[in-house]
Amino acid sequence: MIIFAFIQVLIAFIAAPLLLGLINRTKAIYGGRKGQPLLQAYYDIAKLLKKDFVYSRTTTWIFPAGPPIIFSAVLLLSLLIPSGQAGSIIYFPGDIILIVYLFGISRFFMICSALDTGSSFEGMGASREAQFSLLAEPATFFSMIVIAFQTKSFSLSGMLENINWNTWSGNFPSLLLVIISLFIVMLAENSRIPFDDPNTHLELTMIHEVMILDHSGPDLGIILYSSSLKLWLLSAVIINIMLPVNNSNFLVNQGIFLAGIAVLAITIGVVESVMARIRLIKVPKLLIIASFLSILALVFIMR
Amino acid sequence: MTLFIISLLLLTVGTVNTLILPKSSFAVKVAFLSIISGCLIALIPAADVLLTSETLNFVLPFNSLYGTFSLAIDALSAYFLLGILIVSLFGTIYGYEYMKNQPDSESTWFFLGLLVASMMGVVTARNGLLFLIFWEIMSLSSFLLVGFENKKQEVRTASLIYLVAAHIGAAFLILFFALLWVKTGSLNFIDIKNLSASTSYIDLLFCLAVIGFGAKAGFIVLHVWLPEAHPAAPSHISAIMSGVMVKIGIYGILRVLMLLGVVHTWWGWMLIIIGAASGIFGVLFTLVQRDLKKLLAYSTVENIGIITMGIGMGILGISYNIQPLIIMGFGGSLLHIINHSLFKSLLFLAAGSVLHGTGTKDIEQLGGLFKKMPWTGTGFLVGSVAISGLPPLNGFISEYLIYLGAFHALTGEGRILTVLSVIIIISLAIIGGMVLLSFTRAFGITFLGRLRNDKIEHIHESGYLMRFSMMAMAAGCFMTSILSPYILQGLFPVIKLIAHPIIIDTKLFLSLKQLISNLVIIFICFSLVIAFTSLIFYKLRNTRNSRQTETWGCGYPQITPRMQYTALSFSKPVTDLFTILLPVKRKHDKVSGLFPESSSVTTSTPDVFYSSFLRPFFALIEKVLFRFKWIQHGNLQLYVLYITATLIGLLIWKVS
Repeated sequence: MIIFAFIQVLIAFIAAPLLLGLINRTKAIYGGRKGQPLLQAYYDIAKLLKKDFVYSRTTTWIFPAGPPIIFSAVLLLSLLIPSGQAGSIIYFPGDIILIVYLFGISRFFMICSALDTGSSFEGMGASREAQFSLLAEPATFFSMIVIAFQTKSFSLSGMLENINWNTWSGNFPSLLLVIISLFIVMLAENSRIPFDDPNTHLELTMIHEVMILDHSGPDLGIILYSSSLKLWLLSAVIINIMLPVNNSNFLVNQGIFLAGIAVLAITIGVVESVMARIRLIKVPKLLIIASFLSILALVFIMR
Repeated sequence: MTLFIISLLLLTVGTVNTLILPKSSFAVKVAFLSIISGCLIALIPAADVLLTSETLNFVLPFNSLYGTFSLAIDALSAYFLLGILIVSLFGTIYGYEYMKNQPDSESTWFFLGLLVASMMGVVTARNGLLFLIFWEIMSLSSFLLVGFENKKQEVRTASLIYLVAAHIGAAFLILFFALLWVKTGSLNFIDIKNLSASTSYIDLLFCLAVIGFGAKAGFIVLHVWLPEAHPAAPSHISAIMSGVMVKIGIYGILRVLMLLGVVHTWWGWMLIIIGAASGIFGVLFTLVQRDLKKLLAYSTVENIGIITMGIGMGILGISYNIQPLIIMGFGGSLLHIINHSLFKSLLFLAAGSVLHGTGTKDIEQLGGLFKKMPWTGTGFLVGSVAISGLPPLNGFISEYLIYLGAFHALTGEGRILTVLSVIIIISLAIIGGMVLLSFTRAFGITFLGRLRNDKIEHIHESGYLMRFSMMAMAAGCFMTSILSPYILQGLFPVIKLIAHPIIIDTKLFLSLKQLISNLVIIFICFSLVIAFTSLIFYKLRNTRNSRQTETWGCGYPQITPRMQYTALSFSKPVTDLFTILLPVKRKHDKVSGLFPESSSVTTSTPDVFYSSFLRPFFALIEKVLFRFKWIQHGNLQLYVLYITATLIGLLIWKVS
């Protein structure tokens, strides 16, 4: 039902920054602290939207053009990626390719905005971001190949809707490997530990946070919101693969889905608390491990 | 067809006056106008053939030993003609201003006209000997154009490498046509179509064709002339060479497929492996280049790889009789041909503009050019977004078609097709990721940030004609994206021609066209959302107080432009993973003594195929042939004796 798809997208828009709050609260509990309020991300975005802009003299019009493009790309992605079992609003054969390349265009303009400032920090972040996404893409595609092979569908919503108990019972190892691989890719794409520390922009963790160092005011608010929505959408893909339920009641489905997303956010928080960011020269190895896990999944499926 | 012949005459005869009357700017103007009008006139028969899908013929009533002088425009020729004419048109407009102040540049107009005319001749020739004649004229005229600045040593070396490579390819083509003549008794394409040779010879023929045409197209290992010749040529010539001349190689392979009539499965696999290797190696080499044009030349190798993968997929579709593979494989690669012509020539024209405006094409010395050269910068940005295959521009649609074909193979029957699909999808994914890195590097380091070498002075934007050509190509990228359903419709007769005698499922094709139309609608909405959001932010910026300040430097007081990220460091994390393929040669002036004064380190990354395979291979050949140097003693009388002895020997052989 298309109206359910709309409701899912609306929930995604409203609840996305809550994920950041959940992750931070989990990290705080691990650290024995009380932590930020759960709704802190909302307060941050609202505060940033009210502020003024500060631009660097080195930048051209490409710098302010970055945030609108990133926001529009994430908006279109929320229409393409299903945030629940009711499917997505837009779907067509091969939409998985449009999804990956929409992430690509938002990355392109984020890197260009970073290089536009002429700062060495941002150049560093841009270079590392390009490298990580390059290595994470094969893992994404291998995982999608595995799921497409199983469900005989090439539209993302088609793929995710057709995963049910039978698929799981028949192909447990390969789907498990796909989920682990996609989890690693999600951590890389959203700049979480072990790839990047979202709290700081210092040398050791200079990837995503440092690329947005010169953005200010509403630009930064939009970027913060877009990254939370991106986290929601990538988590949605993993949860949709993991949960093979398809109850006829929309509310039950959505409730289970939201519970799954919350559990995934708490898991990310746990991962962030027990690990440190791994050394940068080891990051390619971790991403290639993710690719090999999904290759293994493909081999199991093709057996 | 008469319009076509008129156009050919305009291109050659109209420009010969620059050769006859040197140093005459009037002659240059006449030549310029003849080329422009020639290109425009020939568009009419090309478009006519594509719209009505009938074939135009032209046969000169003279029969030689080897066949007739016959030209014809069918759907395949017309499609390639469109690419040739559009890119040559805008390249010429650009070249008029670009070459204006260069000394002794008048004769290049004749060679340019000859180049365009010979390319048109190659795609319309219907006789093997005529084809080879036009091919040779194309190689020679482009050789003379590449070697225009022959006062410089590297340009001379580059043009000689190009000449040798072009003739090695031509040698294989001569072998190909010779073998065809032996097997069928004729060089006319119409007669060859009814080929009934034995199987083994068809395989040999196809291999000869792949090597011969692949040398022109720039397949891996045979590509070594591309990164030498394309940077050495004047920028509009690079644009034409990279934009259309390498596609003539692809045309040759498609024409050979049609001539041979049958396809073998392993041909498809071979083309896919060649394509994947060209794509990945091509883009890998772009990551270590600091010469902007060399970077673009390697990127051409990569895109030819993508096109070849699509053709390989189409061939597999024909041999397994799977309709989606045929339509999407050939459709995607043909669409990528025109897309690549547009955005690669845009990128080369912009690179030429950078060279023209700053005097250097070394990206490590540039930076911050966007403020002084906004038009060039925008052109390069559009080209970079298009070549990375990002929505909403045209590069995405052709790559999407090839991906979709591969996904169809995935869900089909048979494990072998799954392997095909995995190879294509993963190769395209790796290539896509690297192209993004490569072109954010090329665009970002050159145009954004601040100028790294402040000794470069008088940076100026290009003039009107150069700007016009760049903006026209950029507009072409947008238009090709929006009009892709119609272009795909125009490709239908071409695909039908190539896949003959397999009948293409029209319903499947129309559903694919509908899919692309929906995708284009999504793109248009996406662009509107971007425009709307940007407008809101623009209004917001004007209502709030926006301050300008220095870039945040974490408290460092003296930020210099040299502290910015360099091009080498931008791609180093990735190139460090591939040190086998990208060996770094390091030259180090040793520091000596207790109080050393100065030292230097130079690093460079040579092309591993050239330095590790081809150069030693040719050196070995030279060593062997050196033993026979005594034959070339310079004594003219003995040379005449050699010729006489050969003639007598041939006579005896022929008589007996």
